[in-house]
Amino acid sequence: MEKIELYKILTIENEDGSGDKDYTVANKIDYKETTYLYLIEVDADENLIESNQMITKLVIKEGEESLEKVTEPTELKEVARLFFELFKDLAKEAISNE
Amino acid sequence: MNPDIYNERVANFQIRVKNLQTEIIEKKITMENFFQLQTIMQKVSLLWKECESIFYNIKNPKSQDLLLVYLENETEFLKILTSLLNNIEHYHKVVGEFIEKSEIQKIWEDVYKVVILQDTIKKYNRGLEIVTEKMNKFSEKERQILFQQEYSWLGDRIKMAEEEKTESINRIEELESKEERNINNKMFSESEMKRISLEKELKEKSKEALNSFENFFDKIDIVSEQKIPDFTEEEQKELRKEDIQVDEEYLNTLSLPLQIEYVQSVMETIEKVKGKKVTVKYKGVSKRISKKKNCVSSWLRCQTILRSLIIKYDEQVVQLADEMEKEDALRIQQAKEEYASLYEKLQVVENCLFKLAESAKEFLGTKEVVAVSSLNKEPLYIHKKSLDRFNAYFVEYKRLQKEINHFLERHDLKEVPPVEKFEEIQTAKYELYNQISFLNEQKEKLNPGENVDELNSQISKLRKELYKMNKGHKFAIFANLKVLFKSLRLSDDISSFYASIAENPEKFRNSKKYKANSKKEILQDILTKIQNSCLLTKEDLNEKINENKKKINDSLGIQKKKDFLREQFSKVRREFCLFPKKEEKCTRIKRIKDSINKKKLVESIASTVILCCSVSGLLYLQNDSVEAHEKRMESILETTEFKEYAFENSHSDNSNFSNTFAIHQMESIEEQQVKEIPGKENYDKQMTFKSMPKKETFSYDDVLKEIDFGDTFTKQGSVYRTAEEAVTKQNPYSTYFDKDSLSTVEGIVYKYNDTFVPIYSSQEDSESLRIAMVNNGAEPVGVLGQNEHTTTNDYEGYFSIDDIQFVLNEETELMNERGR
Repeated sequence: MEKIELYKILTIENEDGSGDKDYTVANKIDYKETTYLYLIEVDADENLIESNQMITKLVIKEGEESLEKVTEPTELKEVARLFFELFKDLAKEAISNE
Repeated sequence: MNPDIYNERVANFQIRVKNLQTEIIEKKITMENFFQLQTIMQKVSLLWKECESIFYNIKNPKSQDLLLVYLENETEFLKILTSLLNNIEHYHKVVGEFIEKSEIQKIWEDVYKVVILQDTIKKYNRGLEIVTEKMNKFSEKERQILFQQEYSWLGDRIKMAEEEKTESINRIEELESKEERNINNKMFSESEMKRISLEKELKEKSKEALNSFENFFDKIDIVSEQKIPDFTEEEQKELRKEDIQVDEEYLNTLSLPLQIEYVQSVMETIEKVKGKKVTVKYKGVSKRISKKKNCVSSWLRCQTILRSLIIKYDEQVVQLADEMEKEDALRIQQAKEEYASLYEKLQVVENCLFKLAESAKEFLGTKEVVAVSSLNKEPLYIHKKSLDRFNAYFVEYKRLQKEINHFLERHDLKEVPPVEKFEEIQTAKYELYNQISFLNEQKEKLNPGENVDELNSQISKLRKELYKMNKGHKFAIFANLKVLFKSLRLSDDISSFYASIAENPEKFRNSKKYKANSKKEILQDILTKIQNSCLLTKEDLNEKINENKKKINDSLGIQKKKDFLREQFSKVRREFCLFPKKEEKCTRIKRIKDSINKKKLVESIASTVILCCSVSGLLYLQNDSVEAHEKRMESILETTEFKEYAFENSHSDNSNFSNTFAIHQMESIEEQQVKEIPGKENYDKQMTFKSMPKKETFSYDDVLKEIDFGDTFTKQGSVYRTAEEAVTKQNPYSTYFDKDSLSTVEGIVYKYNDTFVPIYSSQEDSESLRIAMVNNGAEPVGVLGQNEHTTTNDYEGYFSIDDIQFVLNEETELMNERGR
């Protein structure tokens, strides 16, 4: 399988069994020896579905790369803060370039 | 009998080690110069290679373990000897060519003692074993009495020998840290001297010297032995008849300090004149002076003369100080110019090396190029034809570097030497690379049909050697880790097991022998053990730190061990974190693919980045769960504020609409005060950004010009190893601790008269020095920080004042104490 990089499209098994969904990697950080991904759902035409965004971390389950949702409050808070800072800088850059 | 262990090769190895030991004990090996040191190191290195070769030729892992135990004595001896020799080598490299013959002989004495004591201890222990065996026939009580009466001396001897051996080892190990400490001490004491000289200058310029005559006279040096004549009683009577005043002719014959004394004595005489007195004031000095004989006018005139003499004297002092400073500045300027020209030469050579590398790029992947060194940790390739030129340039490069370092030391310049970009990879590896490459060429030149078997077998042998060299590095890590785990009182088996896992945790994670839960537990245990080991290391060295009271320099001693442990910890932790915490919450990635229209995707992500910011911001600030974010997004879009803003800005481009609204919200957030986070119900009702809490921070420029020890800050930029680097922002490091974590100010670096003066909270009179700096207009330009996650005496490093944000501490009431 290819390496997970920014803006790649990941096809993920839906946990409730309602079929697979596609997500794009909007951002990625390494924090405390763990890789965290900020994912946004995309449709078949690669248009963003903004209402579905999530923070996950990369794990290995049964020898295959998988994603685990970050639910532990402290961990979520710390990682969300890091993404917040990253996006804030990007946003300011985007506005100043307009 | 296991043939892997009991064979001729292993026996030969043991004999060779024993011979080396005997040569050292019988003083057949001497150490008088660096060349002899290198000879011995080479012998030891060959023995290690042989040991590794024997180890890796054994396929059976059990036999490998047995071999480790069988050769424990030999490996322990080689380990100690290697460590001692490395310390001596490092000491020599740090000191340079100044190491004297007698000094190196002295150091070798300690090595000799260690070797001989180790052998003695072994013999004593063996003696103890024999004695214990012989006493088996007695009852326990009899054994105790017998041992106490006859053989307690043996235990004492062993103990003494162990202590002496440890002392010798410590003396040699201290060489390494001692020299580094000396160099740092030198830098530290130089800045201390600078500070003291600046203090003196401040005092001399102080107004107290002008106003206080007593202080002033204490500083006068009587240059000549010429004395002012004492007036006899008759002369005094005569004087009383006439006006008492300063004889200007006589005054001009005296030196400046004597002039002042003369005038003072005249004034005293005037003051002694009896009669009706009046109070006379002159520039804050008031005296009762007799009205007779123009005493008042004379006294006033003396005061005027005295005042002018004092001003002249003060100017002389200042002039002298200025001249000294100029000379010093000139010296430094000249040294800097010389350094600049040396550095320019170095850059020229560097450019030549880069050009050679550039010209070889087109041949990369072919056999025309060879790996000769590393550039920023990656191999550097040079065309074979340019090899001679490269070697010449490289030798010149190294020579210039050495010259520059010596120059800096001689002139006490604290310029940071250029970062060493070129590193020579091991000569042996270099040779192997080239031999393999040469043989491959030979193979190609052969005609079809000719026998290539011999060449192939030679190439294969060389490749094995290269492989072993790399393995050697891994073996070293394994050995160190095993020692680490054994020091934590784990058994030999478990230590080997843990060490092999920690050395290659990825292999363990992928292993099918163990279940996921067991693997997690084992990795967790290893992580805990490594962490505990870090604590042990710190505890041991805390005593040294307290003794020397040089906190920063002593932390260097634990840094290397800590770095190794940190690296291993990080390696194991990375594998540990790949295990999911809750398997049921994991979703498999079925496919990863590139986007069809990446540009469009990136642009659309960029346009929604504000929204992403909002979501992540909500998660972080509200400590919310992931599932709820969808509702939050909807509610943001549904708020009245958003709708009003939408209406007002309906002419704007819709794609930026939500962005500009959110930016506006974010900017208003940053102006808000700290408020409590509202409850969930209230939050659902009133969905705004205004209630987000914020840590109150201020930058140095905004509020105060004074920083005090113990102030709290968060970091916004890099950390540096020295004060100079922090101020000049050279050689930055990434911070180890999270940006949000708090640090306290344990040292302040001031800039005074173009000099950087660090003051540490641990210094005596640190507070008065700090106040003196502030009062004399010194500007704080850097701080030394200690992070909240570290223990006392363990500093994170230096920060530039521009890269930190101070945090208002409720307890200290910063604002009230200092005022604005």
